[in-house]
Amino acid sequence: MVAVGLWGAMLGSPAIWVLPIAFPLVMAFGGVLGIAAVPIPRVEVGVAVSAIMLGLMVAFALRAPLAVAIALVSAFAIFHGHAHGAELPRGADAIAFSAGFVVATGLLHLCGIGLGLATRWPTGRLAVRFVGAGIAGAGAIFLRAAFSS
Amino acid sequence: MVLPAGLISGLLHPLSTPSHVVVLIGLGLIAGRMVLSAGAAIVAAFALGVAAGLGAIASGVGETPASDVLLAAATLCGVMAALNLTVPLPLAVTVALICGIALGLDSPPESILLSEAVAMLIGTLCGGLGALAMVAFFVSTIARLWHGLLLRVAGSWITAIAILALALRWAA
Repeated sequence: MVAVGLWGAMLGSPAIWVLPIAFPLVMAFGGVLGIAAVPIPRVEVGVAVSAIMLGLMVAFALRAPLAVAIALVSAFAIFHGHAHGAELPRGADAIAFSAGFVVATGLLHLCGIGLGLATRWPTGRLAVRFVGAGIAGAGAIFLRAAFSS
Repeated sequence: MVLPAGLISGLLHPLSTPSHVVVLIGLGLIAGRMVLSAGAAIVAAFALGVAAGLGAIASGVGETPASDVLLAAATLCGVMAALNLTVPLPLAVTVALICGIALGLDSPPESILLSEAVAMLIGTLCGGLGALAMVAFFVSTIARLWHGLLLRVAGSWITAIAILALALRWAA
């Protein structure tokens, strides 16, 4: 989630605001699939790969056309939404869960955007790229855990 | 001065029911982005709908899928705000009317005393109307901020919350 905001900030306008708008919409669709128990194979792998890919995008300051960025982020949003939707306890309060899930996701995006604004300065740009590398590294650890489970 | 029993709980009812809060924000996002007269028409249609819904409750209408209708309407409002669509006034007024009716139907009084129940229904009408007007006013003041980005993000959040809540309700 933080990487989405970071990458959006690195890509600049309009990606900086299109990605945080697209992500919750598609994530909700993934959540519905999870709640409806529609199977998506290797969801944990998808989540880990999303962290690796987006982390690397930030780490290497890779740019992509807006359509590609939206498609990439949306694909990953489905995995995230599905993972949360599938793991939801059935007795949970529908609105409270949904609001908490969406607002937390949005705030993580905002954190990423806030950090990403540091790319205006050379030192900040380097720091953001390090954060991206860290996210990719964490994703690799998740990926290993997903394959070993 | 002593307020009638039930009026305060009626006033607070739309703010203490999460699905009502979601639809009030969603509808406020639509009303606040329009010109003043159009926004006022939306608020008026909503008030008319709430009155109709509460009237139906008072006349003994049983259980209805009003909560689901509210969430579906919130989804529609959220999508329109997220995509920054120019909403035709007749459509916006119709959605506001439906939202109002559903909110009214979803607000049965919790008291069995007639005077208290009536006070709650009046309080719900005033509370819902006041809340929508405040949200719309707030939205209109920040509509130009960052090219409307905040409103579009809020729209996407409202849409996602409403879709997930609907899915969870149907799954249960």
